[in-house]
Amino acid sequence: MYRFNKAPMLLRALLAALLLFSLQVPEAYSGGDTDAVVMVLNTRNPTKKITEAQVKRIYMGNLAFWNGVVPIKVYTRSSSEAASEQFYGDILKMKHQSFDSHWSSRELAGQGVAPTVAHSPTEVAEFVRSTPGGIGFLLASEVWDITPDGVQVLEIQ
Amino acid sequence: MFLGLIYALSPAVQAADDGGWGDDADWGDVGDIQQPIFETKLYGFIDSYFEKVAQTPVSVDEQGRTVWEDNPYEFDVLNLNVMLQGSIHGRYRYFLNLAAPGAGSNVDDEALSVRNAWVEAPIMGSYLAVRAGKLYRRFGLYNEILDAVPTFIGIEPPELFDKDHLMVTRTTNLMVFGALPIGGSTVNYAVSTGNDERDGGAVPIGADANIDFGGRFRVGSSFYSSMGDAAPSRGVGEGSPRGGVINWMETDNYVVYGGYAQLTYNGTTIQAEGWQADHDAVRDGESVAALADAGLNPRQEERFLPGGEAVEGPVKYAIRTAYLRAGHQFPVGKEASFTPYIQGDYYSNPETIANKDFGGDNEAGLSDDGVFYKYTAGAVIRPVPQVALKLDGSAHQMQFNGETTYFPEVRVSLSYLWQLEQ
Repeated sequence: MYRFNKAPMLLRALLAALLLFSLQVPEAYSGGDTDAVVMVLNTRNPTKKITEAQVKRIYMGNLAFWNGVVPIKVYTRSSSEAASEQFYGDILKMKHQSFDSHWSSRELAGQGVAPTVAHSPTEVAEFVRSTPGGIGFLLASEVWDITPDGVQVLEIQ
Repeated sequence: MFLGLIYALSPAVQAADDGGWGDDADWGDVGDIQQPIFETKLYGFIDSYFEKVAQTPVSVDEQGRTVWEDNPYEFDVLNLNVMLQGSIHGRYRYFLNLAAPGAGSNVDDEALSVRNAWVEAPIMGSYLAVRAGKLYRRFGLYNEILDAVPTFIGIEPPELFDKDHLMVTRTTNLMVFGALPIGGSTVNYAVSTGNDERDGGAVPIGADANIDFGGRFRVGSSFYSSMGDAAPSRGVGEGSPRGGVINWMETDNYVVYGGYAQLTYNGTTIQAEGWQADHDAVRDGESVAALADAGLNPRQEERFLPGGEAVEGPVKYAIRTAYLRAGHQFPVGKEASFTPYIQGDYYSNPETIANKDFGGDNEAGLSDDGVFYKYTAGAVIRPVPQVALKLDGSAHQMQFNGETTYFPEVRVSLSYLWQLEQ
């Protein structure tokens, strides 16, 4: 887990570099198709690790609360973004169209509201920063693009 | 049973915490976390519909030949739904679903009816919650999602929930439900009760349990019991029943049970369900006598009015249905998709008749033996996820006038999801 909000600027930059190094995804620097997906949580969230199964449950609407206490607020990305394609393919293991159909079905059955769409890494960070129970995703290479205050980045176990 | 299971598992559940985050993921005092008081989304869909049924068999002439009848094509707004879903402080959910089925008429105005109006409160995170109001019971794969027509494969619901011959009421009033993650799988459970069709002091019970293996495979079973006498929701001459009790019964004590499975993998969806309803009913003599004007076939006359005498009193019978559906979603570009599908339905009901006004249905009730098969093939075209154009064709197969008879129908459905811009 990486906390950014209380560190001085130089330390933040160092931590961000360490984050990318610790993810052990050299492609993270390239921003290419093989870039890894990382999860973004609010710093108020005490979660220190997150598994692929948990991420999938959250994004499919099968897990509504953090620790049974704080409502989970889910943020996704627009289908035109590379992060989106990577996340749906690698983590959810489905096409974007199937994800949309899944949530349309759930909404029309009253089984939850579809994740809010963020249109950039900055917007993901802004949404999560303002929502204690928020969760979003970025490509590891996009971590550089966000203002780290108030958010933490977790790699998926 | 389910509540007992939850109670027994609750210490483990609390230890594992919701979602298995571990003890180190303690939020501490959450009093400082501000949630919006209200979060509400207003949305729904409009479903324009066209159907043309070919000639259908209606009677037998004096020479013993089958008489066929033309059916007019039909335009309609099959589904018009306005939905509102939200939460209070992110925890207490509410849902309102207003519908005007058949709103496509140019000469009649359809009133909006309340399909769902419920509130929900979590008792133990995702593990246990209670929902109260008017709600769809959890039953099989489809009951809760039948108002999500634009999203599922096929235009028509499985025969279990065909409004002409419902096997159980779709709505109830109170449901306790939850989900228990176990490894990569999730066990879902629900118990419900409500007014349903109860007659007197009966407390009808519905239950559903299923295991979802990582979102790819789901297998489950549902059960319903009227737990005593139930009464018809509609009388003879008032149209199709709203539940499992047919119009000419005085009382009916019945159970419905069965199982279902769904495989979702790499864009392919395969669904199968099988159900049986065992009825222990008492016919109302006056209502059965009224069936003399309903145009019964020879088997039905022998069953209800042999020699012109109404057969009233106790009757036991079973209704059975099963279906298999399969479809594959081909992505086209970033947002569009093309989904061809096939499905086969089977339905058997020895007690029904053809005349819908009297409470029958014109499928099983039309056949000699109360049995029909329906084979469907079609496709869903989605240029964007919010627009679905569905085209399908079906062939009914049944015994009529001693012969295996087929008649086709084609349907087109164009549905738009809409929502208030946020």
